[in-house]
Amino acid sequence: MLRIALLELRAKRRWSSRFVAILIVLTVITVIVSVHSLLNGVKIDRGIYSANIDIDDPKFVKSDNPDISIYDGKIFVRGDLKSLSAFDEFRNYVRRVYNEWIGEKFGSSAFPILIRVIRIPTKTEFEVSAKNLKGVIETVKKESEVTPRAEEKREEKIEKQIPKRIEGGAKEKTSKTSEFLTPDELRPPSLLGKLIYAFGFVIPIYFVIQVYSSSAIEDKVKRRLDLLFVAEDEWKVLVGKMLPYLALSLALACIVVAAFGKNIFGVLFLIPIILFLLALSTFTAMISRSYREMTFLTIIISIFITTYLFIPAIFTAIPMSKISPITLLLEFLEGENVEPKDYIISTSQFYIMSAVLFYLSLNSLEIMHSQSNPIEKIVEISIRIVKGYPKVFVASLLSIPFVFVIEFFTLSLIFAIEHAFAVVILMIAVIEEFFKGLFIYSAFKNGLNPYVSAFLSALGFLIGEKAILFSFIPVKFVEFLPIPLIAHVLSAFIFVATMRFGFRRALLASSAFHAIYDGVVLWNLLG
Amino acid sequence: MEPLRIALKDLRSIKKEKTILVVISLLFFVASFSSLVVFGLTLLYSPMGYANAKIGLVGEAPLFSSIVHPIRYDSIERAVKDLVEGRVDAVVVFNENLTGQNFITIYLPKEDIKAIKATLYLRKKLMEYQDAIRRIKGIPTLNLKVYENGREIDVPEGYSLHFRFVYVMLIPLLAVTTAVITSAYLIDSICEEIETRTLDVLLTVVELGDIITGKILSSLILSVLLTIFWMLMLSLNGISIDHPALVMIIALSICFVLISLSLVISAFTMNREKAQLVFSIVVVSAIMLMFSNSVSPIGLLVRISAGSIFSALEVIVYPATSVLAMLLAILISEKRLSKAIGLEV
Repeated sequence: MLRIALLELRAKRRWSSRFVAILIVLTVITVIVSVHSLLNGVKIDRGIYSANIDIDDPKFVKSDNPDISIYDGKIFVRGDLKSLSAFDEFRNYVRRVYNEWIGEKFGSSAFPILIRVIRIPTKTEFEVSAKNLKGVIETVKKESEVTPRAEEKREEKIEKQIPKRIEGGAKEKTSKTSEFLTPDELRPPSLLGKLIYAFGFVIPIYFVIQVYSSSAIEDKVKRRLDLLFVAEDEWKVLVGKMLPYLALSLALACIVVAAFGKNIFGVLFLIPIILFLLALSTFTAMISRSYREMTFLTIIISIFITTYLFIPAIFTAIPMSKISPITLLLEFLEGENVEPKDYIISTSQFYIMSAVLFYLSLNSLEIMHSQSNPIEKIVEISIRIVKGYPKVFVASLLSIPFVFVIEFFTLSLIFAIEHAFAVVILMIAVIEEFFKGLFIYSAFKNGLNPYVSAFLSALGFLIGEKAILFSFIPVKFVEFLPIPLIAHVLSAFIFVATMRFGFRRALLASSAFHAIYDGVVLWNLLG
Repeated sequence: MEPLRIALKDLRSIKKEKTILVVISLLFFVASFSSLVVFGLTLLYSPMGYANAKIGLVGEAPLFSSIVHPIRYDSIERAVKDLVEGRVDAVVVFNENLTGQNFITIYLPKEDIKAIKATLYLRKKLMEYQDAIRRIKGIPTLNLKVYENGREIDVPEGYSLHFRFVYVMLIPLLAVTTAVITSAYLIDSICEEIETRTLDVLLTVVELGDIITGKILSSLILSVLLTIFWMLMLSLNGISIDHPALVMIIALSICFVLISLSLVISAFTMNREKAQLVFSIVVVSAIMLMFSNSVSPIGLLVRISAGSIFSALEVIVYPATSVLAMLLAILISEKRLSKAIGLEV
């Protein structure tokens, strides 16, 4: 295995030392430019607004047809989005100037309110935990004990802080590190900032994976893999190929975490993501026919995964948000305790998906050069694997994390298209029925009874689906379980009954039933 | 005519290999991701969003209470318990001091979405409160009055975020994504011809210059189609774009610059893997520089699409520069490729 890893490293040495030197130089330049740009900030908003007078803010220019007009200390607007936004930004500018002025004139007494913010975890609708509350109250007690005694010292500290703040003037950012805020500085948490921060951890990994997937498809297309399989066990070859990239991504992840000055154990949240991306790239390399098909699959799947990782991280108030390791990573890096239960649930899906993809890659070696399209290849692989009743059940159970990833993306589309509800319900039905049907079809091709397989596939699917849901939402909905089971089994039976008309038509029939069922349930729930 | 035929051949293969689907779904993704954020922003920053936040107060603060109308608590524990259980949105702890400094401790929910509502509400109210104390102390206060059609109106704090998001982020992001996609596509299409040796076959019937021009033409047609696609998508979502034709021209000049870059990189590496790697590193710098400089085609794109002021000179200079860059790139890469292939054959 190590031999293969060394071989992979040596293959990269085909890159001339001149090319490597250029890469290093370019990377250094990019890092410098990035740091410079981040310090400089976004400047493309220069001159987007206009006013009837000169304003000492680069966002504003003077114009005869202005967004805001100022006469006698009164401001006039047009009432459209741009004009009102111009006023909002003008207000911020005026406030800045005003704060500087009163700061100079009246000193610290011009800022009679100083705020300290303490953030505490609250309950979400589903969660009831007395233990949490007790902990919170204890910390609050400690905090409040400290408050009165510290008051006097604090006043001195504040005196020192305020002049600094005023000197800072427009450079508000510097004062953000201080413990106390004036009301103007009290800002809501920036969701976007958090997102960009999280991207910082994942982007370097994406780069390494890009190199790995290019290398994997090249080895396959140029038939180098076939040679290696003769010399070494198949799984050892695949693992050996991944090892250098795994090491490199891990090293990069450590560097980024350290560069942000954070706890190095944060890497623990990134490992399952790295493994998953590696396994995924291996599998897509196996089932795609050309470089461009590989690019196609990689981009589509990266989009799915990115949505799955990042969207939950924005909506941390929802219990389901813990499904993404990135949500937990951000919490962990902010110095909070991540419960082992949450860590296990969110990362285990990625470990499971990595293992499944790796297993699928191993089972695809014989057909990797065939000219059938990727979906056909997936069906072929499934037929090779699902050769007994227990396997139908397990396959269906293990497909759940994949189904979730795809469904999550589908759900996020609701926001892009208005009134897309019906489309989303239909798409979700098709996704679920595709996976269920795939295993029934495969079992049938292997001579198993389709109705027994249909039942097992539906059961496996339901158990997997509810296992993930119930780990986030308490089990008070269990009494409803028989009904979804019946629905899943019925749609699976419809699939079997229509299977003789072909896979696609059977999928259509079962999805139609599934979508109608989901629609009716939702309609009832929403009243 | 030759370049056009090559471009059409490439475009047909895009259609056949469903590459166009990836590209469209990528733009779609950028847009849907952004719409999600816009949706969140408009919901959270609308005046209705924070009109009725419930504030708990521990301590004696008559003036504050007259402004905020808080729910009174006699202990921090009880107030925080209600915060945790969702009966109040924030808890404020302090004893009012109208002559000196007031140190206020605010307990807010850790969950971002919940905290935004309470924070925005408290910010507004605390600023009113600060003004009230300043008036007592004889410090002049700031009072901005804004009128629409002669009537005084109230513009919520943070109102500009939506506008900024659409014009300073979303539109530049879509333009840049388009440029990156079409450049990466050019790399694939050139390097594939080199690596599979089909370039040699093509060269027996077509001049190298024509092949390169054809490749660029196909990326350009792709850029035009994608730009039209995202502009349509935005207008379907109710986002108005001023001067669509000019926006198109500037967006295309951004594509031109990145395509020239990718052409030169392909000519020098002659290998897809290397070219893509170099391009992805270089493009990060290029994008960063375009966003962090006020003199930038992206800045112009922002101003044109938002209906702000721009000069005729800018509209000429950027496209002209990008065309020059393109011509230069063609020249360099033709020289480099003919030399490399000449040596190989």
